[in-house]
Amino acid sequence: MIGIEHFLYVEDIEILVYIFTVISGAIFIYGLYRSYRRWFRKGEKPSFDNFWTRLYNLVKYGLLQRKVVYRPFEGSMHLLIYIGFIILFIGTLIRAFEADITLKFLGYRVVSGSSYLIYKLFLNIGGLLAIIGIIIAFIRRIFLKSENLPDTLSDYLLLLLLLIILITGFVLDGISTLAYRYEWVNNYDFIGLYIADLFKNVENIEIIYRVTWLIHMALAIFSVGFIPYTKLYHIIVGGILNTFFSRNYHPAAFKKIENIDEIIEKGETPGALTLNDLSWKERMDYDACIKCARCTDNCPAASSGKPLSPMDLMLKMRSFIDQGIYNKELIPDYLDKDIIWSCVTCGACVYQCPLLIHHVETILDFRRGLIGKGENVPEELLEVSYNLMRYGNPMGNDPINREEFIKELVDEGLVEIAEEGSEYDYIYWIGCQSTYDPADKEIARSLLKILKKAGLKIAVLPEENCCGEPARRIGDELMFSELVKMNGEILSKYKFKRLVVNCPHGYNIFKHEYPLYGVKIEVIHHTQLLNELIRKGLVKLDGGKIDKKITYHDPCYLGRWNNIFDEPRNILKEVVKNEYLVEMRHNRERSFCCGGGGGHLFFDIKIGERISKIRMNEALETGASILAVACPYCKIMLHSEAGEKIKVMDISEILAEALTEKK
Amino acid sequence: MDIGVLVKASLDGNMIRADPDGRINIENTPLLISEYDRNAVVEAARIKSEVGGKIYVYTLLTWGPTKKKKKELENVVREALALGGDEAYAVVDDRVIPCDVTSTAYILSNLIKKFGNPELILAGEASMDMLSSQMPIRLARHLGYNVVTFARKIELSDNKIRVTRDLEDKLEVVETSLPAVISVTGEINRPKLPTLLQIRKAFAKPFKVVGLDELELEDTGRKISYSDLRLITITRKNVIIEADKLEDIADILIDKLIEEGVVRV
Repeated sequence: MIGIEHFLYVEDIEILVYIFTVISGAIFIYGLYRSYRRWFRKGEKPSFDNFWTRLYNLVKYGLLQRKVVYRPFEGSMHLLIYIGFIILFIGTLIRAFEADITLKFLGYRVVSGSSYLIYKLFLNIGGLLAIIGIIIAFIRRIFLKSENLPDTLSDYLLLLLLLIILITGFVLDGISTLAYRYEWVNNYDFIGLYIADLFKNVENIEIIYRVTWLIHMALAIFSVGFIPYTKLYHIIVGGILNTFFSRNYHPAAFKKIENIDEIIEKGETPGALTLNDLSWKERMDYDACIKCARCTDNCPAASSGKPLSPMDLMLKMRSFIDQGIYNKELIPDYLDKDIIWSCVTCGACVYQCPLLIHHVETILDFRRGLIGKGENVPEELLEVSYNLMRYGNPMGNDPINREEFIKELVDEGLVEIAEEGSEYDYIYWIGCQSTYDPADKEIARSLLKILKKAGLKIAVLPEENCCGEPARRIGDELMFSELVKMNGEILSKYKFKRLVVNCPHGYNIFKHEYPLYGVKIEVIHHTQLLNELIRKGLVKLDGGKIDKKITYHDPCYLGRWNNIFDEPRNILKEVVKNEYLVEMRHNRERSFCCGGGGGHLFFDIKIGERISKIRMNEALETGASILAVACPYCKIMLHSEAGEKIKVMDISEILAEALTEKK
Repeated sequence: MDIGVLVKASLDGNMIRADPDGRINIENTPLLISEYDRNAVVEAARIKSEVGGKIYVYTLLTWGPTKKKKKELENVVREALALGGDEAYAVVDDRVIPCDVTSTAYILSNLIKKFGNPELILAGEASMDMLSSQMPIRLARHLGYNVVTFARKIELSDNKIRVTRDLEDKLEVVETSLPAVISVTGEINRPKLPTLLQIRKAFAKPFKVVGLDELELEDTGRKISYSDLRLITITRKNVIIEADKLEDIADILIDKLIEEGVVRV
């Protein structure tokens, strides 16, 4: 008979398997119940809407681990262990199913003959992959740790536990082979055969088998039972739950605050001060973290020595749940306010997290809570809030300056002021920085020059408020909702196909956040539009090449959050020779923030290095003499670090210059 | 102990609108809470946290036109309420606009006597637009209260009030007793700017607007003459001081200030 000999040498203690399984199962189920209690505090229910999208996310990010492999080395290590154990787990299930059900009640074998041989081969391969993976994991822990990877004894013990389960498994396999399949199993059991040879002349093989079996069986069964209490819980909370229940809105839309007026009427504040104020999904996030530190390794705040480490924040939040302090205000007694204010909302953590944790959402919720209370908020940001309320822009510029600037642009024949009733292809939303900041004004002027040359019918609005992005990022949700209402009303007065913005922050908020609040606008970033015009031949550049080395800085809100990487580069390819276009150390999805996001254009956490300086050094490393940007925030931040060697220019400025040179 | 705070809706110096002839266009220049009045409200809130009681906010609309400016005055009052005020009383009456300091003090004294009548009144050292610093003194005269000006520290004990006055070149400590009017300087505290949310929440606090009739007052007849208010353009020197070390920058700055005669050695 070619098949499994169940309970070889251990038939008399078979019952232990069932006893252990029941105990372990109970421990496991209690662990899940405990988690349910941790997450669902106020009678919330898990959401199953958009079921198929959720399932898709589970398959893509959980089963297929799309993000785990972002880091090839660690990703491969994980994949080896993951695939190995999946195979072994399925193999064990088949074995149990055959022994306890089909064979017992139907006298039928699930695997026999050739299917058994293939089954055996798979288990050999699975075990081998897992062992290789674990050896790599040890090597990584000892020699190749990433900067912020937590490294405790328990991390090693867990690897050791898995390794013992695997090795004892192979020992059992080898002795079984010796006992009944040595002659016929061939290389389908290549490891088993090898081990069988080792045991050929060993005495008391039955006792060795029984002891090994007990160890293997008990460790395997209980390590499953204890999953909810160890780091292995990431399999369930991270891989399965957090992917399935992941947010079904764009990650750069951030959480919608429902019924803000009602909240204020009740005398409450939007956002969070306590654990209970956060959503169940946010609490699930904290339990999902596997401490891989990819977030912190990529966080500009952490890299520059600020108090924020996204991973540590998640773990701290988890420890607050452990301590059961659901109703205490966490800042400043448990959590340093600077942790919350250090974030530039660049999204590197969210992008990197293999388990779809949204760190920034928690940070923004705390900011809303703090702004609501008006305490533990940097004074400069209270000023931003106040300026928005009073002047309609975060810097506190007199709106009359806008009128003057618009008049200049109109007088130069670059643009007209939109009129109600007229139809426009494009309305250009200039945005606060490009309206008021002396350096950023040139972005607006250059852009309009190019658009005029391309023959576009374009207008600017007679009035324009802040789009609300700074308000939302610093947690002033009420101000934001007011601005959405006002701007929605203004925009609804005019007929246009698309709204052009040159600020990625505005782009993001119009594209992802306004729709949550009922304002839907077709918005396009100027790099997209310029690229489109070049492709259509409306902007012609033949011969107009700039003879300087250029490197391009991906703005977080254009690149990583919105996947616009190629359009700006395509434009640059038109104005410089390919060999002059160089990339920085961090580029595209892994771009490094200029330091100006999340309200940081308006204030500074004076701890550690300046993020803008780190980024500027990366630009200087390339030897480029022009640092191209596509965001007025980036321009201000990087320009202030530029010095003599490098010039910071928006893509529209570079393109406008190339067009003039052509003449 | 109840505390009254005087708050003025001043012309916003950041948003001055002028006609081509240089005359200030008051109608189009928005009003803003007078900066030091914020200090007064915050100081009142601090005292309240020690001794309890209520904080009354008092104001009078001095700039017109009433229709346009009343809304702006309301915003100023809400801001004071968001900073810690409990109740607010405002006088809005076309007949007194544009109101000068003499009339304002007189009308406010009546407003205060009628509503709340607190024994301690705080005010900013001066309003941001007129900067006369006369208001606290005139008001105290009308109310028959003691008056102390330019306070950078206020300490209450039993029946005494100890005030540290900031006299530019020295500090002076004086004692007075209730009832009193005290004006505070910008150094007394660092007020936090209120957020829109806090201001919105302040909408729940009582706010009463009255006219002269309700105070049983006649038109006082003293007004500011418009044509006197002109915009003067000053060009700044725009000196940028550069040095590697912060200490060096400070040294250069001090030298420059001495050179300009701003600082005496």
